[in-house]
Amino acid sequence: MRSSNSSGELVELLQHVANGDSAAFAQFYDATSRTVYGIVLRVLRDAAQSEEVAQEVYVEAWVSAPRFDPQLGSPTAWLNTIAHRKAVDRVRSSERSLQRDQRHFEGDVQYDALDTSDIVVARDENQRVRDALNCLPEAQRTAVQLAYFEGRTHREVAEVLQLPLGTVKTRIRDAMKRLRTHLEEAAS
Amino acid sequence: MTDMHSLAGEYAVGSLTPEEIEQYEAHLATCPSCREEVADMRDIAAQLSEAVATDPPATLRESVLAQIAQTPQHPAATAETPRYGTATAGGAALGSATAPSVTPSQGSTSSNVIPMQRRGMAGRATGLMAAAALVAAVAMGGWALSNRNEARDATARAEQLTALLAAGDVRTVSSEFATGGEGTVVLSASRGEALLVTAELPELSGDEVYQAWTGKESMEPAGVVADDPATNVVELPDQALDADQIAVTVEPTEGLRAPTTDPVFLVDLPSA
Repeated sequence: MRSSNSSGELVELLQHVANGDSAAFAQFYDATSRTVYGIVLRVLRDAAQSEEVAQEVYVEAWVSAPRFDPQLGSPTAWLNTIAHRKAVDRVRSSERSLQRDQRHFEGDVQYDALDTSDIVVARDENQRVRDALNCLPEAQRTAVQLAYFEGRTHREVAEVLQLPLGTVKTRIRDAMKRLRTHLEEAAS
Repeated sequence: MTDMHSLAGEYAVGSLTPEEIEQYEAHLATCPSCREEVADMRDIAAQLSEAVATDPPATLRESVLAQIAQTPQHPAATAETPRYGTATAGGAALGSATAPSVTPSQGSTSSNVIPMQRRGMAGRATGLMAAAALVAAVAMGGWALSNRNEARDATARAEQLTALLAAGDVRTVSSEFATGGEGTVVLSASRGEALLVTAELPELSGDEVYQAWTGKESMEPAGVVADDPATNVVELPDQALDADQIAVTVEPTEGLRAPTTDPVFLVDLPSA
């Protein structure tokens, strides 16, 4: 799913999907559903809601496939953007989000996502990503985990970590650049 | 004010506020290097998601495929289409988008004109809505079953129905049963398949059965709706593909050659 070869295959599949080819869409689903469901589940932490949201993600992918433009990014990036945004929308609109915030702000529960072993499943295929995450300074990793894997705005991240907004922005920005460097090195 | 050129990472991880996103997307429209940066950062984010990859429930696949079978796609991007945004233009255009497959032909042959049926509505668009809901019901029937083989059968039937609904020449007709419950006939000549999907039929007493029939010059037996679960799929014989009508009667026993009671379900098939 991440090699340029399979990305090319996905582009081709999406072109068929754009013409209403539901069999191609089934293949596209099979190639991507673990990642889509995984990130949605990670953000929502609720299997029933995640299934609903993942379904919305794929329906949106189907509906907007004719507008997918490979020049603007890879199919996985496109799909992941839809998935992450929908999961984040859901978590931000749900009551659970409020409760979750309270929990953090009251400080009565230890923040539970600092350990990357929690988010990174032990699979060889993910070793590269795990390594890259582990290479980040802990402060950056925490910022990325809160922002990306928990779907928080940088304001929320700042409040949870009790840091100035500017510091959080810088950490997220630096973390992403560092991840890019690591992942590109690992890929080459 | 934040430097617009530095926001790609935050944009890709989704931590910007809606206002910031709006400003940044306006900036992206005019800044090719930032667009490249965003594409890169979105790739990185997608790779992060791989770290949490998890097998989805098997039911997700069926329900996704069932739903897309009845969901029209956006037309391809035009010069006016906002292509940036957060990957999509949102749901607003969904209702107005029309797929060619559901647009009735205005031509002289009128073969695509969707006629009103004596009972219920027929045609690809309305029938598909009902049928897709039935696919979900068939799959649900599977989940409710404790018997593993039966559950697998239900899943297989849902897949079969999904594939059939995706056929280019699929025809569907839905109607209610006079007894309560409903039925949808789904046919595709190209696939050589015809199914009657029923839902929520009341239980019958004793040996009574729901007997399906195909109607052309005469009524021919076309299978029996099995007992339980509440949603059933009957594979209709090939003669259904060129029949004029599909009917169901309540009969005292299986194996009759002709109906002995008035139909409790009767639909005219739209012409192929």
